Amino acid sequence: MNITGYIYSGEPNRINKELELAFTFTGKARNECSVLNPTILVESGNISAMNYFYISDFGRYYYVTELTCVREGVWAISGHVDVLMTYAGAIGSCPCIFSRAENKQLANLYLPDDRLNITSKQVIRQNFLSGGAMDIGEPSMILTVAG
Amino acid sequence: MQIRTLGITLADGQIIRVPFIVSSSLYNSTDFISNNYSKIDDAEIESLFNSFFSGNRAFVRTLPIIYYDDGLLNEYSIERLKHFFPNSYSFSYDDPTLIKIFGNYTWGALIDGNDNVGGRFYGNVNDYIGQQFPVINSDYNRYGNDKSFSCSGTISVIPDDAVVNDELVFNSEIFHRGMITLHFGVSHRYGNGYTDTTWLSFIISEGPKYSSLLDSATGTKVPIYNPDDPYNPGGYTGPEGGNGSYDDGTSDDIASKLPNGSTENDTSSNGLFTRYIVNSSQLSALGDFLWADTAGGALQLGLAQQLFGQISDSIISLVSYPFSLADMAGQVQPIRLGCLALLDISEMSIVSAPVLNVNGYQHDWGTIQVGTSPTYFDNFIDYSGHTKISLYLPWGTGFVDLDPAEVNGKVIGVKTNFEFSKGTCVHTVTLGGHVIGTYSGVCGKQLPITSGSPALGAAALAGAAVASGVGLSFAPVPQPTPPAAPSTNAIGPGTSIGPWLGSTPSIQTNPARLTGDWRRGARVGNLLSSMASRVSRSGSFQEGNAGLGIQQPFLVYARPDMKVPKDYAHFHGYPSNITGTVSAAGSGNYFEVGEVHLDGVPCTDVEGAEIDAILKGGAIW
Repeated sequence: MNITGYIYSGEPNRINKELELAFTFTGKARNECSVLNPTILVESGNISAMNYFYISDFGRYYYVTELTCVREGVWAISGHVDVLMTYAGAIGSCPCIFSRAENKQLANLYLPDDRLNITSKQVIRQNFLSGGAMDIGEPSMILTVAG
Repeated sequence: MQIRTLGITLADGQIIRVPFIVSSSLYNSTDFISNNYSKIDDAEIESLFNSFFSGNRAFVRTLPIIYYDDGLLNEYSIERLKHFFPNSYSFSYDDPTLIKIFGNYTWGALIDGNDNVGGRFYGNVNDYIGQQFPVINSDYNRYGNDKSFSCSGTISVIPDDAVVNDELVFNSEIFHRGMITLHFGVSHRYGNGYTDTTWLSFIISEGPKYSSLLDSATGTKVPIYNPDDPYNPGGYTGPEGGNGSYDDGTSDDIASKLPNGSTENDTSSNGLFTRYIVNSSQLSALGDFLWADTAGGALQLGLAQQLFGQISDSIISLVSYPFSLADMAGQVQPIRLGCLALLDISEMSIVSAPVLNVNGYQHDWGTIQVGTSPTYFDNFIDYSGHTKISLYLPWGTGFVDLDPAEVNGKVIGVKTNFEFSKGTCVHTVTLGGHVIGTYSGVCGKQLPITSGSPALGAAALAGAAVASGVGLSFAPVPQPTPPAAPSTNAIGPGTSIGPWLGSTPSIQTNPARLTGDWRRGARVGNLLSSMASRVSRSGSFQEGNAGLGIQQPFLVYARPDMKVPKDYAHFHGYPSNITGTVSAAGSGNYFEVGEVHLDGVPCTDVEGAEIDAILKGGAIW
């Protein structure tokens, strides 16, 4: 099967990954081969820099989970499917309810944000009303009497 | 696909230009056309657009602009566009030359990952009119004849100053403010079991200053960001709320129904009691009248008890106010204690004072905007649990808490109604024409007419009167009149109280007895203990601290200090509660989903569970 090896240095949780093409080679499955967690034997030079690969026969991208030099020129590549990159296009069309989003157009900042740090420091401000104080003048007394 | 722009003339005459995509290759399905072109409810779309164009607020709306077209805008597609705009807005097709666009896109066959490609573009919008995005034509066939592909990305209309030397200086936070961003996504599957599932959805995101964006089309610079915004650059939020019934009907202006105290139920002088505005000299005369040595000697024994009771009981209250009441003064009249005129003993003249001619009074403290509009942080911190807004009201009321959700960013007013019998007041807090709170206070200080010592003195007075047989004599001024004839009401030797019961203060006794010290009576003992019990307190200083506090309402805000680390949103995202497609998160943006339906993802159960977990835990589009 055809295998394309990449070097990926981005975040693993990034759906659309920008991959740096590193190697292309053919290989074969070692014994029974899981599609989701395959181990492939390939004949190649030093591929230790590779950390990501694609198997066209499986139609999936994989993270390299283990890279074993079986003997000189023969490598065993174990991987785990990267479901994000593999199904990136379809995932993008999936309807969802965003709970958090960096895109501010999707944000509602009136919702409580329990991750935001708020210090106990209080900022105090005082303001009088527009009418200002009463014209106090001289204090007065009112005597209320019967009659 | 082709990029077009459409100009929409808003009700205020402004023209907003929105890029859109015209596509022909994706919609070849006859069923798709016959199915009213869209799986999204058109009425809902209309409603969303109405809400957007009727307010100057940020919005995120899903807009399915779907064209069955030959790739060019034609009459048919214009009609289709008109369907999404109410009649109050005119529609025009336009290709503005000043609007630049920036976009990125990815596309690929869902199954055949080799077809995944992507790219970015920017430049003048005219450069892209008619340009084709890479069209996917995957023939990969995994499930029979099923063919599937997707295309998604964003197109943003940007202000001119976002481009420097023909290079887009892209800052996802700064330059997107005030921009219109169109997130588009296409998912198309056809073949066995998937015929007619083509749909195309757009999300147009628009920042808070879209009107500024419009200005950018005419060369006006767009404000980059508000430095006061702790989110830097921050901005407004998207839509919220559930389109409720908005039952904001209300009765007439309730606040205007407040009594103003000046005319209603005016009981300032009604035959039962009279209110005088007295000053310190008049009050001194009253004291002399009641207690002065000069009067004591004139007291006649038989009259003392009854007189003293009548005089003191005739005084209903004496209340001091920490402000002037001169404006409420009416006609100057002799002060009458019941049927007696108050006599200035030392001057031997009748004491007069202006009558209070109002029953109450209202003072308008004015208004104040509570916080700013929009509010200080323009987020949840502006509300209860974090921000405390207190209103100080004078005269014993003190601080009252206002609900930030009720008053934030709004204008409140305070009016105070005074009544002058007990010196109480009621503060009314209004919001617009609505009363949102009433609070009572005590602005007047009840002054004690008598106290323990005077009571004792009164008892002594009575005792003295009894022992010495002196009588009380009152003389009208300026000319003393001859003693009145004794009446049957006389209760003591040489004393007549008949004139006390008359309508004028013409009581007259022997002027010669207007001398002497009534306190001497204390030496002759025989207190009339019952008299002391009749001396009533008309007030207490316990409520009389009105003048000691600040005599002016004011607002106090207590806000926490919000700390937002750099790139907070990229690590955590902002709270959201908005439905959309995952791609709406925007390229390179972090997001978390509360719920996601993995529709159209041809994965295994295990993979689906992993996708679900990752998206809920946080991913970057």
